[in-house]
Amino acid sequence: MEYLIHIAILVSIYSILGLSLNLVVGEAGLLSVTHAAFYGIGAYATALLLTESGMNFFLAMLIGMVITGAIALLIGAVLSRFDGDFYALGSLGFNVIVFSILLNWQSLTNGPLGIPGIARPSLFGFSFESNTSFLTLSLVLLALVWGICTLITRSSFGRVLHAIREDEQAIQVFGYTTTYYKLVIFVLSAMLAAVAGALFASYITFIDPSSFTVNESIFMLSIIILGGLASHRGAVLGAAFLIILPEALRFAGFPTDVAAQMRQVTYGAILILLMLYRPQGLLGEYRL
Amino acid sequence: MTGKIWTWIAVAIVVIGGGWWLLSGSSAPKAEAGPIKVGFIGPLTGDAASYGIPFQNAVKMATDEINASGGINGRQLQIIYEDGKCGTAAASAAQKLISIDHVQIIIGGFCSGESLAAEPITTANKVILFSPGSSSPKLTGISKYFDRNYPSDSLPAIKIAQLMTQKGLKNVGVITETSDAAVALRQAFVDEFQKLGGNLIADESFTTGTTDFRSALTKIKSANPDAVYVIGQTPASDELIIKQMDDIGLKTQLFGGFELFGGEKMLQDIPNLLEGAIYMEPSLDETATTTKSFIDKYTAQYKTFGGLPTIYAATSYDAVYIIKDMIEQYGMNTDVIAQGLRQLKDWHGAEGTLTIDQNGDPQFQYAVRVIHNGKVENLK
Repeated sequence: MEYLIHIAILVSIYSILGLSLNLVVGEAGLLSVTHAAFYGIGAYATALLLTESGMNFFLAMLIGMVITGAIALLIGAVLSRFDGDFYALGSLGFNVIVFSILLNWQSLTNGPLGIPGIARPSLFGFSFESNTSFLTLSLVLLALVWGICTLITRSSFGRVLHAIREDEQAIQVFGYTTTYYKLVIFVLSAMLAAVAGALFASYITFIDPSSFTVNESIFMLSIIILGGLASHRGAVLGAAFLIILPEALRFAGFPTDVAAQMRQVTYGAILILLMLYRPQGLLGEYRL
Repeated sequence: MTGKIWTWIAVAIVVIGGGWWLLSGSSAPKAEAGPIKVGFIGPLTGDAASYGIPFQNAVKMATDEINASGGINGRQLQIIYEDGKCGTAAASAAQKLISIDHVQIIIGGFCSGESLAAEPITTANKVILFSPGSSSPKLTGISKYFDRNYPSDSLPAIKIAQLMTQKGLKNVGVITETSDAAVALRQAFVDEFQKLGGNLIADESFTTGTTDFRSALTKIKSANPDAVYVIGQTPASDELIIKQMDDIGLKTQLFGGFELFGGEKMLQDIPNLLEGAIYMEPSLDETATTTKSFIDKYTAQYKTFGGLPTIYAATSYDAVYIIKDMIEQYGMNTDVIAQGLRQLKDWHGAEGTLTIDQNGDPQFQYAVRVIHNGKVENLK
């Protein structure tokens, strides 16, 4: 049972990442390959505040979100001037930079050794020490993030984002400064990714830079492409699918010698088949 | 459209639910009959698989030997292998081993990141985590359920610092790879060296995969050091660094970070440049009977240790036998085994003689080696 709760917690963390990335990729049509960077900044900010100053988790998470937002604002100001393939490459570069900083700024981040012993959250004397209570917390935060995302996509702001996705030049003709819209959604999405980072850090209680590589960003993109772009349910379904699938494959009965390798191969094969037969994703409304 | 959603949700539920039910339902926990299940976490896929596969092989070899000679207390030993991917994926692996397979002992993780991610879960469940490869100093005394038979990185670094001070080498330059083991080694070295009054006059680092070190080395050269301490994770980068030191004319006393420093390939390629270089390694006597028979049998069966230094293969192999001895001596009570492991004294295996201290770290004999005329000798 503990194992199922563990998987459920991972699914909710990755659902938050999927939902937030969907704002940029699905709603605004910007192929961002840097989400793991913000996930990482959020995780490190929270972890450092928790271990160094013993601050409350929720306060640390909020500060982590602000820090992540501020960094996203700086980098977004540059990225918003790009579109299409250039946007993808530029954002990828940013992910590489963040990874290198996490790895090399050793006096702050402890480099490749990572930060162990991160505390679990507690609120008004109630500690989220057990996995069941942590799952409840993750689900509450997931619901909040879902609410925020719904609010954004249903607003007039969200409709402008859709317009940018469909035809950026057309909406510019109507006098909208698209750069500004792209920047705002980028920052919002990064701040929500920091929530997932904070949850991950305090759940595993150990982080190191290897969890925040470009590969991780691509994994998050896979979640929303598989689940279906611009669909909230798709993001959650994609996260559930991509987290549960490799875990379920542990029980596929491969011979123990090659089980780990066969899991990877089968995982890849299933993804290829899905993309072949359902290129718009499970629930998608928009294709890249 | 909605029909499709429900189909997918149903599929997901069937897959996890079914898997969970099948495996948890069929295996009654803590059965006194049937095989003894022990978990394994190592980097079986990804970049570190070149360590993980030989690790798995050595563990498998020991398990087969134990089972062929009657098992543990008449029960067969069954190892359940899970992939830790050299990082936080080890948390999922540990959780699965504990709640689905009901293991009470896990051999692993191999990478320090795996052990650090799995340890909170194993400790919470009072499961023994026994690592034959994690060397991070952060794991020292982390939990009463965590022990290892591979030493912490801080040990050799402290000895090198003392040796430099003894030799009167006051101004030292360091070049470090940004990998967990190398960074930990550097940190322990710097702390000890500065405490002893040494000056760190150049402190350079490089990321894994770098091939041009000239600018870092030029900086070190301009500081005019008495000695240079090269801490690369692999012999390949060490060799490139030493060659390029020669290119730019940086000639000084060399120190090497890891046991790989005196690797055969390096000795063949650049014997002249290595003349007088000093490094430390856990003293593995490859001619001792147990060690030799392990190496011979392993190479006969699997041909090569891959990227894994022999010492790690020996500790991996020994880990299984240590677990066997513990179960035979103390039964399956992990609290008792945890205490028993810390009382392990002069245990004899392929890695030589092992004693585990009160922090769960092994007391290892280190040998100081010096390279002379293209051969490795003990420093007098």
